[in-house]
Amino acid sequence: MAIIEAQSLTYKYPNSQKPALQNINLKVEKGEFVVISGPSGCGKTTLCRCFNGLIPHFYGGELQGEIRVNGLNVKEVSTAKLATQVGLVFQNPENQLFSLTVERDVAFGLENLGLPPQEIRRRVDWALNLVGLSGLKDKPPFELSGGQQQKAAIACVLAMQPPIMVFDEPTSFLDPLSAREIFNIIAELHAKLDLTVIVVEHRLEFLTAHASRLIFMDEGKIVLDGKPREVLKEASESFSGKIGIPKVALLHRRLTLQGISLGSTSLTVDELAEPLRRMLHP
Amino acid sequence: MMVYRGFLFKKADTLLHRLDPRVKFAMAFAIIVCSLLFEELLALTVLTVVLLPLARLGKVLKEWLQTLKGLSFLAIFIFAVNLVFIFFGSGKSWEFPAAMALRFLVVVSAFSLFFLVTSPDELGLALQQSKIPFDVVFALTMAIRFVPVLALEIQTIADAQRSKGLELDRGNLLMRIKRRIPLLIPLIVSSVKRSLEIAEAMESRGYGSDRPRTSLYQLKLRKVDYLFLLAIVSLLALSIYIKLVFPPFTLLP
Amino acid sequence: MILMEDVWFRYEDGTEALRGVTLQIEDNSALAVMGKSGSGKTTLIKHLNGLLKPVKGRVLVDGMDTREATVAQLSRKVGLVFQNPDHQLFAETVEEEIAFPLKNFGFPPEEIEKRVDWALNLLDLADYRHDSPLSLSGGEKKRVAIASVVAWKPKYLVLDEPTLGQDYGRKLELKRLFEKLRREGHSIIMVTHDVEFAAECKFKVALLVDGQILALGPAEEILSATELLKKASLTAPQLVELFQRLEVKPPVFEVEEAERFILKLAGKAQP
Ligand SMILES: Nc1ncnc2c1ncn2[C@@H]1O[C@H](COP(=O)(O)OP(=O)(O)O)[C@@H](O)[C@H]1O
Ligand SMILES: Nc1ncnc2c1ncn2[C@@H]1O[C@H](COP(=O)(O)OP(=O)(O)O)[C@@H](O)[C@H]1O
Ligand SMILES: [Mg+2]
Ligand SMILES: [Mg+2]
Repeated sequence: MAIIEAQSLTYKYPNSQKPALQNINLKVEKGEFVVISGPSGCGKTTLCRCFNGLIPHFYGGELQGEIRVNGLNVKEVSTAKLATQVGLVFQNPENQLFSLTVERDVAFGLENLGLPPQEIRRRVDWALNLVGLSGLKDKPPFELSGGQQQKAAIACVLAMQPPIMVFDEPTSFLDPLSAREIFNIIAELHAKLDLTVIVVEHRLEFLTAHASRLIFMDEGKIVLDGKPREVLKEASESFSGKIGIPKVALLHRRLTLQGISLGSTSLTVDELAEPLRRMLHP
Repeated sequence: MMVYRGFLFKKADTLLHRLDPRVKFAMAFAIIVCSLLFEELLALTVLTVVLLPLARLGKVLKEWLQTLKGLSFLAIFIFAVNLVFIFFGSGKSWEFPAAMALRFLVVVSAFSLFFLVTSPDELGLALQQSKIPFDVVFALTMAIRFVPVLALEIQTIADAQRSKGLELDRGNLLMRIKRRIPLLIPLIVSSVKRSLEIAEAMESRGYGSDRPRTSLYQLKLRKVDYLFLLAIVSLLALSIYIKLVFPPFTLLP
Repeated sequence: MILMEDVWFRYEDGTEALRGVTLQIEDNSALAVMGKSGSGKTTLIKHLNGLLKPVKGRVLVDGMDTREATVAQLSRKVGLVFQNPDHQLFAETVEEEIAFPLKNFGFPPEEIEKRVDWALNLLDLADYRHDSPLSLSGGEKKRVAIASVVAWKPKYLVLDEPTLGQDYGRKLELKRLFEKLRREGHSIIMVTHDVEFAAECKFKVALLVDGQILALGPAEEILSATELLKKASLTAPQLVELFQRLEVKPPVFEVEEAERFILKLAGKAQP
C-alpha cells in the first residue's frame, strides 16, 4: 500500500476563484525520495499543506477528492494527529522556532504529544545529534545563523519521529554552503532512518542525484512525474524556459541532439564529465 | 534605556542562576516585604546592602548598579517631594523622606536583581507550574523571543523607506506622525504574515493535540533551594520580631 | 563614480562587519558583491546611500562624502532595493507605491505621472496599476519594489539578494531588466550568493569574506577560481566545474557556448 495516496485532489483557498490544485493524482511508496519542482505559485506549498492536514483543517477552503497518508484520511484526522505521521519543514527558518532555547523548541512537539519527560529528553538529544546541533542546544534561536536555524527546525519535526518528512523549499533563504549542508542532512536521514522524503526545491543540481523520483508541477497540476533522468530529459525539451534545469542536463541534451552519444541524462557534473573525457582524451 | 537593561536576563552559570525561579521570587518578595515593614533608615540601608553581595554572587553587580544609578534621579525626586511635604506638614525629620527614597530603591532593585538572574524561560516554567494556562505562558515567552527580531525588522523597514527619500524628522508633530505610516503598514503586514507562519508551524508540531501536555523540565527544589528558603524565612521572621519587640528607633536622638 | 576608501564599520554590539573595504564603482558598470551570509554584504551596500556611515575611512558618491550628506540626498543617486518587498510596500495601489519616492524627492506632478507609467511598463506591471501591492504574488511584489526605485532613475541601482526565493523564469526576467537598464546608462550593484545567476549576468565580481574584499575581477576570472570561491564559502558554477574536469582552460558560463566548444574539441579529437 502506498504511504501517500491522492486521488483527483482539487483545492480552492477560501475566497479565491482559481483552484490552487487541480486534479492531482499521486502515489508515493514507503521509502521513496521525491523531489518536487515548478515555477512559483504552481501549488507546491499547497500540496505540502495537504500532506499534513493544514489543508483543510487550518486553511479551510474546498478540498475535493481523496487523500490518505499512512492509511489515515486527511480530511477526517486532525492536524495534531497527522503531526506524528508527517513532519513538515517550512521555508523560513526564523518563524519555525518560537521558544527561548533550541532544546525547548525541539521538545515543543513532544510535549504536545504528552510524552513522559525522560522520553522527551531522549528524543531531543537524539534529534539534535542527528542534525549536528548538540552543542547549541541552550542557545536562543535568535543567535543562530539561518542554516543552523533550519537544522534546528528539522530536529524539531524529526524528534516527533514521523515516517514521512516533507521539506518545503528548505534552503531558499540560505547561502549555497548552508544549502548543501541541509541537503546532505536530508539525504543522510533518508539513508539512515526508514523515512519517506519529499522535498520541494528549485536547486535541482544538488538534489536530483539523491532522488528516486522527480515531479514537475505547473499551474496546480502535475505535469511530469518519473525517474529523475527521464523527467529531466523531457523537461529540458519542453520546460527549459520556466524551470531551472541543471546546466549539465541541458548541455547533455544539446550534445545528444548533435549526435554525440552520452548515455542517459546526466544528473551531476561528474556524470557528464566522464563520457566527455573519454571522448575528448581517448 | 540603561534602566531597561537592568531588567533583562543576563546569562551566567552561578549559584543564583541555578536557584529555582520560585525561590528567587520568594527572595525578592521577602526583601520587598521587609522594606515595607520598616521606615528606619538603618534597616533600609541594611536591606540595600544585603542585595549587593547577592548581585555579586549572580555576576550581575555592574548591571544592578546601573539600575540603581538610573533610578537615583527618581529616588532624589521622591526624597525632594517628601521633604517639601514634611517641612510644611508633620514634624518628622529628614529621615522619613530619605527612608521613602531608599525604600523605593530597595523595591525596584530587588526586582531588577530577580529579572537579571532569572531567564524568561525559567520564569515561564514557574508560571506554567503554578497552574497558569500554557497558552498564556507560551504567548509571553514567544513575545520575548521575537523582541530582537522585531527590533531588527523595524530598523530594516525604516532603512528601506529612508532610502526612498522619506525624511522622518522633518516638519511639525502631525507631519512626523503621518510620515510614520510607511513604517507602520509594512510592520503590521509582516507581523501578521509572521504570526500566520508561526501558527502553521505550531499546528504542524501537534499544538492543540487533545492529549494532556507534558514538559521536558520539571522544576524541583534542591538542597540549596531549601537552604535559601530557610534563610528567607528567617529574615522575614527576624524582621517581624524586631518590628514587634523594639520601639521605632531613629539615627538621631 | 562611487569610491569606498578603507571603510571600517562596527555595529553597536561590537560586531566588526566591514574591515577595510576599498572598492571603486565606475559609471555605467555592473558589480556583483558575493559572499556567504554574515560576510557583510548588506552592511556594505548600506554605506552607499549613507544609511550607515563608516567608523573609519570614507565613502565618496560622485565626489560627495556620505558623512556630509543626508540619506535622502544620496538616495537620489543611489537607489537601494531591499531584500524583502514586504518591508517597503504600504500604499493603496501599485501606482501610488511607485509615486511615493518621486513625491519625496519633489518631482513635479506631470513628471511623476510620466515616470510612473514608464516604470510600470518597464517592469510589466501596467495591468496591476490600480491593485493593492499587498494582493500581489511574491514575484510581482518584488517587481513593484524594483519599479518604485527605478522610477526616479538613480544613477546607481543597488539590489540586495534580488534572486532569493525566485524561480528560474523570474531570474531570466531580472537579467533582461539589468541589460536594459545598463543600456540606459545605469550602474548596477547586486548582492547575491547565487553563483549561477552571477555567472549568467557576467557582472564584475567582488568576493567578500569576513568584512574584507578577498578578490575583485571579471566574472570569468573570479567564478572560475575554485580555491578563492571556497574561501568565500561558494562553489563554482556547474559548467565551470565541468570544464575543469575536462582540463579545458577558458571558463564557460553558458550552455550554447559550452556546446560549441565541445563540438569544436570533438571535431579535433575525431578527425
Ligand atoms: N493562504 C492562501 N490564500 C489564498 N491563496 C493562496 C494562499 N497560499 C497560496 N495561494 C495561492 O495558491 C496558488 C499556489 O500557491 P503555492 O502553493 O504557495 O505555490 P508554490 O509553493 O508552488 O509557489 C498561488 O496562486 C497562490 O497565490
Ligand atoms: N543591526 C545589527 N546589529 C549588530 N550586528 C549586525 C547587525 N546587522 C548585521 N550584523 C552583523 O554584521 C555582520 C554582517 O552582516 P550583513 O552585512 O547583514 O551580512 P550579509 O548581508 O553578507 O549576510 C554579521 O555578523 C551580522 O551578524
Ligand atoms: Mg511555496
Ligand atoms: Mg544580507
